[in-house]
Order: sequence, then structure tokens, then C-alpha cells
Amino acid sequence: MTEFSQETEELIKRIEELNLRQEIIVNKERIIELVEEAYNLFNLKIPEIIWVDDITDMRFQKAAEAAWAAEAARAARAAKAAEAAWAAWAAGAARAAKAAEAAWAAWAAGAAEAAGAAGAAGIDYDFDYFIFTFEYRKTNEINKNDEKFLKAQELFLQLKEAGLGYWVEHDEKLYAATNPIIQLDSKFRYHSTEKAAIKFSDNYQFFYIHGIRFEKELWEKVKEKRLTAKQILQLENIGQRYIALMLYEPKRLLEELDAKLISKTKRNELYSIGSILRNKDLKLLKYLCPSTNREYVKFVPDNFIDADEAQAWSFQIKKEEYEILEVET
Amino acid sequence: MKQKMFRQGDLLIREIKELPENLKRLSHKILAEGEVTGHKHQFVGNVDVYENKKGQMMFGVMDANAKLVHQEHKPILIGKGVYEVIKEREYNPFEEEIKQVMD
Repeated sequence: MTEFSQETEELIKRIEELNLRQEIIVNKERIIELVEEAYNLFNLKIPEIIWVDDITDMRFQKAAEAAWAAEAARAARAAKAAEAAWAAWAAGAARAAKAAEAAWAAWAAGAAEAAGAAGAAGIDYDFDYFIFTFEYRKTNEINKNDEKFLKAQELFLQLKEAGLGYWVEHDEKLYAATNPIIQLDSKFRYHSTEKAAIKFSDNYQFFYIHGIRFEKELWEKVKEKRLTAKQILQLENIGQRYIALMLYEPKRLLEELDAKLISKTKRNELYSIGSILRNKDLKLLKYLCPSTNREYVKFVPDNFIDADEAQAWSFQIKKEEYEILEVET
Repeated sequence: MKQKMFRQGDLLIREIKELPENLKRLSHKILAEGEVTGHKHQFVGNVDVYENKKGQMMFGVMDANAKLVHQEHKPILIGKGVYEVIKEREYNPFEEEIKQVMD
């Protein structure tokens, strides 16, 4: 991967740490200072800040709707204070299409590492283009608008660090809500089997397992394996169905689904299951972790008839290579 | 010479002839982190870990005693050489299906 600067890496880490902060912090004095600084940057009248519990607060929603209606969707996302910054972004983005590879690498890394929390609400503010422009500036000249954009982004990031998670301005009032606390898995998807994956300060919360959203009641049943295999198969949402099956006890799953063993080797067992989909038999591979002796199951493409060949597929090697694999822990 | 290959949990380690160009050297020795547990596949010893443009990890082992360790899996003595990491892939049979569940 193309190298990008250490400073950009530090910026990405800073955003990531902010996204994964596990406590609600609200430094209102600092937020007022930063809002003033941001508005002064664009010579805008400083609004009155009205704190709401979370983004579902009716005042916040109404202000967001009004802003949305009055301006472009993007301007509404960023609120009026960021209008000039978005203009700068647009200018920067146009050039960015032809920009240095290093800047794209920074953007890609930023998107992966830092954007996890950005989807928490439709009106969230992400920092992808901050990272992009920040890196772009390292090796390219930028104009005054870009400079202003970077300054604004730094202020917005500091605002988030001070606890201003979401904001929208309408009628000279800035409606402000705090950051939620989020939990991610290693692929940066919302995830927790212990608590809400997104939780706002007033306990407004969302439950996810590996990026798939569940209503709380269903989330509890899935994580506690309280559904039968048949109940899992009746889940309409295919994402939820897949997650629930993967969290199920392998032995129970195979029994309840009436799975037929079609191939057995020293290390793997391949099962065919005709009770899941109407028109085809699905293949499920059962295998043992040599270190923990724990059983696992995973789906493999339905063309497989040999257990070792199916396992070799999942590691992207040939069956012959898999068969000479001596060290497995 | 026989190509060395190891598996630790969801990672397959395969020896390669040489490291390709344009790799990014990482500042840590972690090959992967568990999604749920946070457990890590990581090296103890003199090992340089790299990543290619597609996000695939590769590494060079300079220390014959370097070990790949993990909280749940037994450690593996890798041996000097250069290697690529292949992550276990998943297949989701439902991805292309539109509500064909049997009652």
C-alpha cells in the first residue's frame, strides 16, 4: 500500500479513538468556544446552542428537516456553518479525482478505520475528506478554500472530542446532541453480543451483531441461542438469519436441520441440508479447532462433495495443499 | 524444497519465494484480531509485518525462534523466511436468495 504521512496516520488514529470512546463526555464550555470559532471562521452569526438528548429529539429532527428542505442534503448534514467548507470540499474533491495516490491511500485507510461511527445516524458527520485533504496537502498545493476547509474540519473534530456528536442549525439555533458510544468488530461493523452497539446518552440504543441490526428482543434470543433452527430459518431478514445460524450450537443445528453427512475425513465433516432453501441443498462444513477442541460450522458453496476440498476452498488453496498441511493449531 | 504451510485458527500461513514490491511495512506484529474476543494472532520475535494494496498481510521472519502466538491457539514456530497470510473466507448462501425459506 502506498505510504502516507505519519501525521495523517495520527489523525486517523485520533478519529478512531474518538469513535471508539466508551464514555459520554460533554465539555459545554469548550463546545461554546469552538462553535464561536467555527462560526467566526465563516463570518456567520453565532447561534444559540440548544442541547437535546439525542438525534431523535423532535426539536433536532424538525431543525434537520427544515435545514434539509432549505438547502441541499449535504449542506443539511453539515449544518449551515459548514456551507463554505462544503464548497471547499467540492473544489477539493474535483481535483482529488486526479490526485496523488498517497492521498487516496490515506482516504481508504481513513474510511476503513475511522468511518465506522459515521453511519450511526444519517446526519452524522464523517471525516473522510478531512483525512483526504489533510494528506493531499502534504504533497500538493492547496488553495484558500481548502485551507479553510481543513481549519473547519479540525474545529469539527475538536467539537466531537469535546462531546458535540451531532448538530444541526435552524433559525439561528444550533441543536446539539452528544456522541453515542459504539462497539465495533474487527471489520469495523457495529457489533456486540454483550451490550448495545450504538448507545446515546439517554439510553436510545441499537443492537447489532457483525453489522446486522436486530431489535433488542431478537438480539437477546439470538445471542442466548434461544431460537430453534426452524425459528431462525423463518427470520425474514437474510442477514439476521445468517448471523443467527452462525451463532447456533453446531451439533444442535445439524440435528434440527436434519443434515446428512456426505463426506467425512480426519479433520472435517461435510453435511448436506435440504431443509433451508426450497430448490437446493446447502452444504455445511463441521470442523474442530485443534487447540480448543471447539466445534465450528460454516457454509461452503453447494457444489462441494468432499469435506477437505471444501475446507481447502475456504483457505483458497488446493485440496492437495491442504492435505499436506501438517501444523494446525 | 517443500513449501511450508501452517494454520492457526482462521489464518493460513504459506511460505513464498520473496516479498513482492510496493508493500507497506506495518508498525506492529499483529496478523489479525478476533471479531468477538479481540484475541490476536501476533508474533513474538524478530518479524516484520507488511500489507499489500489489497490488505493481504505478509511477513518476513528473521529470527528462527519467532513464534506466532494467540490467546486460544497453540503457538507456532514459523522458521526463517517470507510468508503470506490467507484469511479463512466465508460463504453466505443467503446472499443471493430472496426469501426462499421453507416453512
